[in-house]
Amino acid sequence: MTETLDVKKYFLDIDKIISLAEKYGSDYVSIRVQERIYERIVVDNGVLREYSVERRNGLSVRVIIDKYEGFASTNNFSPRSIEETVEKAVKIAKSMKLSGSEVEFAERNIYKDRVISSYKVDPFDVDSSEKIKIIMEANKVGRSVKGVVNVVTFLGSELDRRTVVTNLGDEVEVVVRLIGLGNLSVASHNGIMERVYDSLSRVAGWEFIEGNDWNNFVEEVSKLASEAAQASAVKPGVYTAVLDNQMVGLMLHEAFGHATEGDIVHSGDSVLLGKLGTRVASEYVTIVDDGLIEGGYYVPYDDEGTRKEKTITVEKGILKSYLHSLYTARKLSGRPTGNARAMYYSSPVLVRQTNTYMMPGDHRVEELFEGIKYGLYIRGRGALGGEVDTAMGTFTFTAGPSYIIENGEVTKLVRGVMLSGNILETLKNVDAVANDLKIHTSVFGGCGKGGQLVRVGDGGPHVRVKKITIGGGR
Amino acid sequence: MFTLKEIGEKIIRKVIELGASEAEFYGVKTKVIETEIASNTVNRIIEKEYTIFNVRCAIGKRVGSYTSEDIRVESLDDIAKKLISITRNSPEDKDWHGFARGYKRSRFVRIFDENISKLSYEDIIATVKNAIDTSVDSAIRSGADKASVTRGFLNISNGEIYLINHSFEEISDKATNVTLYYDVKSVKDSEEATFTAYITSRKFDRESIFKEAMNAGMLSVKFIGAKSLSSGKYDLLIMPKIMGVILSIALAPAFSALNIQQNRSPLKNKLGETIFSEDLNIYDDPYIEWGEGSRGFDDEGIPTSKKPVVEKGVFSNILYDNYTARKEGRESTGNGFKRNISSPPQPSFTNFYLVSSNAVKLDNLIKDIKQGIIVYNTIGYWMSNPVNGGVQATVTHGVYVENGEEKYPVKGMVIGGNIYKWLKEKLKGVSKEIESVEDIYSPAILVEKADVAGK
Repeated sequence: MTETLDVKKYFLDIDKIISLAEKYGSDYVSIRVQERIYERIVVDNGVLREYSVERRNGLSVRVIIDKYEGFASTNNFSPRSIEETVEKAVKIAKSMKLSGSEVEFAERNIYKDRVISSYKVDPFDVDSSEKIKIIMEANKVGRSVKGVVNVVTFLGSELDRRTVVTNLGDEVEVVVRLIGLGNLSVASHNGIMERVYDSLSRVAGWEFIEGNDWNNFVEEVSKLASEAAQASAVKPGVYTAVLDNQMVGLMLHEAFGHATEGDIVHSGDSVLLGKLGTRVASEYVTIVDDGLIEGGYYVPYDDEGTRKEKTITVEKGILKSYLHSLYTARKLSGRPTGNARAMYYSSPVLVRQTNTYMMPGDHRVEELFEGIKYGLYIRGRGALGGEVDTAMGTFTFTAGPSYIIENGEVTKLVRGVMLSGNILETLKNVDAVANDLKIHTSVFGGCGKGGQLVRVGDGGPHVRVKKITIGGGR
Repeated sequence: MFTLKEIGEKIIRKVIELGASEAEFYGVKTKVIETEIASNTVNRIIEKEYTIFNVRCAIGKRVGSYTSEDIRVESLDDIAKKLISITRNSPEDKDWHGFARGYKRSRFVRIFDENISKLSYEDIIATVKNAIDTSVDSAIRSGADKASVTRGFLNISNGEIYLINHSFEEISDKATNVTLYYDVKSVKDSEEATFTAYITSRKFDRESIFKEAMNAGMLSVKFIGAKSLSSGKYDLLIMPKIMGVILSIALAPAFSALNIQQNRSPLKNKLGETIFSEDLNIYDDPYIEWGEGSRGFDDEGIPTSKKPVVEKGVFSNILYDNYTARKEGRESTGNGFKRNISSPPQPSFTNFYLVSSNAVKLDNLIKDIKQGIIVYNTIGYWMSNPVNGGVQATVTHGVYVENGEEKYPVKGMVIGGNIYKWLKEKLKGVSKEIESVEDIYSPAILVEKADVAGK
C-alpha cells in the first residue's frame, strides 16, 4: 500500500492566505501545513491486536499584529474555512491587547529549503503481510522464554511532512521517515511480576527493519524480564555508579535539558535562570542539542523555519546557552537555536529539545568500572523514564534492571532501581566519561510538554558518577 | 464539507461494498481554545478546530483500522480501499466475534455546558487574569514576600462524537471540558516554593477556578523552606488528588478484562476474593454530574452502568469491552474506551470512585498520625507499576507531622510500597473528603508505616 504526501494536492494558495492576513493588519504571518501518517501494528501474546493507520493533515495561521500574537488552525481546506481561520487568528491577536504579552522576535537569516531524510525503501510501500510476519514471529520467540507470561510487540512507521512559509520570505519543507520496533515482556516468578519494555527506532526506511535481528531483540527483552522477576530489589543508598548510554541520555534530557528550554527559563521556572557562564557540571561534561546527529531524530529546521544548529549548552561544565525560539531568543538576549517545535500543525510552537547528548570523553568503558569496590551499573533498557521539577532541580528516574559492581566487576542483577537527587549536584559528581557515544530515538514516544508530544533523541557515552542516591538512600 | 454522519454513512457503505463483512465508524469534531499563561500574563491564545474519524472493519475474523483527518470528499473512497487492503492482509483472530451491536444510551448525563460556546476571547482572558491575581494575592496574604504564576494553561473544549455501524445503528453525544493547570511560585526570605493549581471539569465554573487559584496560592507558601527527612518508616497521609493519580496508574488498569486475560493484572483469578480492607468500595460510576468520565454509552455505543468493582473489600466485577466479553461468551459491561482515536477500545473505567464506610474527617486522620508525612504532591508517581501494584514516587510537597501536629514542610523523599498492601493491612484511615482528578475520585488515604527513603 503506497501512501503519498504532497501538500500541493490540497490546492492551497499560501501566498493568498498570507496576503489576507496582511490585509487584516498582520505584521508577521506564518503558515504551517502538515501531513503525517502513522502506522502502528500491535501483537499481544500472539494475537494481532491492532493494525491501524492514522493520517493527520491541516494548516495553522500565526499572526502578529502590533506586537500581539494570534494562532488558529483547521483541517478543513475549503477556502471559506481557511478564511475563517485567518480571521480567528487576527481576532485573537487583537483581543490580546487587553491583557496579553507583547511578542517580538530575534532576527535571523531567511531560509528557503526542502529537505528529505534519507531512506532506501519507503515503509508504506511494503506489504502489510510482511510487516505482520516479522512481529508475529518476534512475539512468538519472546513468549518462548521461561517465566514470561505476556509479550506485546509493536511496529511503528511514521511519515511527517511539514511546510513553513512566512511573510518574511521563509519557505521550508521537511520530510522525515521514522521507523522502529518495540517490545514489552511481562514475567512472573514465585508470584513476583516484572515488566521490561525496550524499543529500537531509526530515521530510515524499511531497510532498518530488514537489517536487524528482531527475534534476538525481543528474546533479550524477555530474558531480562524473566531475570528481573527473579532478582532482588536494590538496597537503597548512596552509590558510586556507572550509567550506560541510554540512561545518560534519559537523565540529560529530563533532568537537565528541560531546564535549558528558553520558555521555561523565561517564566522563572528553571534552576538555570541567571547561570549562563557559571559552572553547572564537572569539567568532564559537555552537553549538546543537535538536530542532525546519527541515531537521533532528524530536525534540520524547526517549526518557525529556523535552521537547527548544533547548540552547545554546556562546555566543560560551564553553562553556555539556553535553547531558543525566535521569541525567547529576543527575550533572553540569545540567538535563535532552531528549537521552536510543535506536535502537529494545530499546536503552537514551544521551546523543545531535539537530540540531547553528552559528548564522549577519553576513557574506555572498562576503565570506568576500575576501582569501584561496591557500586551500581545503572542500565537504561527497561527504564520507565523520569520527571523533574525544573524550578527546584529535583529529579526522579526509574532505571531498568541494573547490576551491582563489586571490586570493579559487574555481578548480580537488581530490580526496582529508582534514582533521585538534584540535577546540578549530580552533574558536578561526574568524574569520568567514556568514548562510546550512542544516540537513541523512538517512533513510539517522545517528549511531553504542555500537552504536546514531539519526537526527540538522546544519548551519550558511559559515564561514572561519584555519588548518586538510589531510592533516596538510607 | 461533510458532517460526521455523512462521512460515517458514506465510508461504511463503501467498505461493505468493497467486501467487508462488518464495519464501525467513530468520529469526533472538536473546537479547542487554549490559553497559555507565562509570567503572570496571558502569553497567547490558540484556537483549533478539527474533525477526525476512525473506521474499523472486519472481513470474517480479520480486522483493520484507519484514522484520518482528511475529510475531503474525494479522499473517502481511497481511505475505504486502504482499510480493506490492511484488513485482507491481517491474520485471523480466532477470538474475534464481531463489532458491538445494540447501541443505546443508559441514561442522560450532564457533560455538555452550553455556556462554553458563548465565551468570547475577552471573557477567557478576564477569567485567566482574575485567577492569576487571585493566586498571587492569596500567596501574599499567606506570607509570601512576592509571588507569581510562572507557567500553565486554561484549555476549553467543545466537541461531539458520532458512532455508526454496518447495521446503521447510530448514536452521538456532545461534551465540553475545562482544564486549568498552572504553577504558582512564592518567595519568602529568599527561599522559593511552587504549587500547582489543577482542576478539570466538564463545566465552566468560575467559582471553582478561583477557589483552586486561591488554594494553590496559599499552598505555594506552605512549602517554603522544605527539608528532607531521614529514611525510615513513616505514616503517609496521601491527599485525595495525589492518591487519585497513584490509583489511576497502580490500580485501575488491574480491573481491565484485557489485562486479566493477558496475564498483566495481579487480580487474575481473584474474583470473589477479599483484596482490600472490608470498609472499602470502588465503583465504576458513569453518572456523576459533570464528571470527566461520565458517559451514557461507551466508545462502542454500549450503555454504561454504575457497578462496584470492589464491594466491602471483595473484588466483585471485571470491566469488559465487547471483544474481551465476547471472548468469554458474555456481554460487554459498557467499558470499551479508546486510549486515543486510532486505538481499538479497551476495558477501562468511566469514573473510578473510591469510598470507605469508615471514613472520617481529614483533620481527625491528621490527629491519628504519630510520626508521618502529609503528601500534597509528588513527581514520578506515573512510574508506579500496574503489573504488580508497586507504588513509587518522590515527594515534592509534604508536611512532617508528629503526634498529630503539623511541624514543617518536607521534600525529596522517595515513598514506596504496594497499593494492595496500602489498601489492606497497611490502611489506617480514609477521609470523608473526596476530590476528583480527571476521572478518578479519591479520598485521602492514611497508610501505616510506609517505606520512606530520604537523606
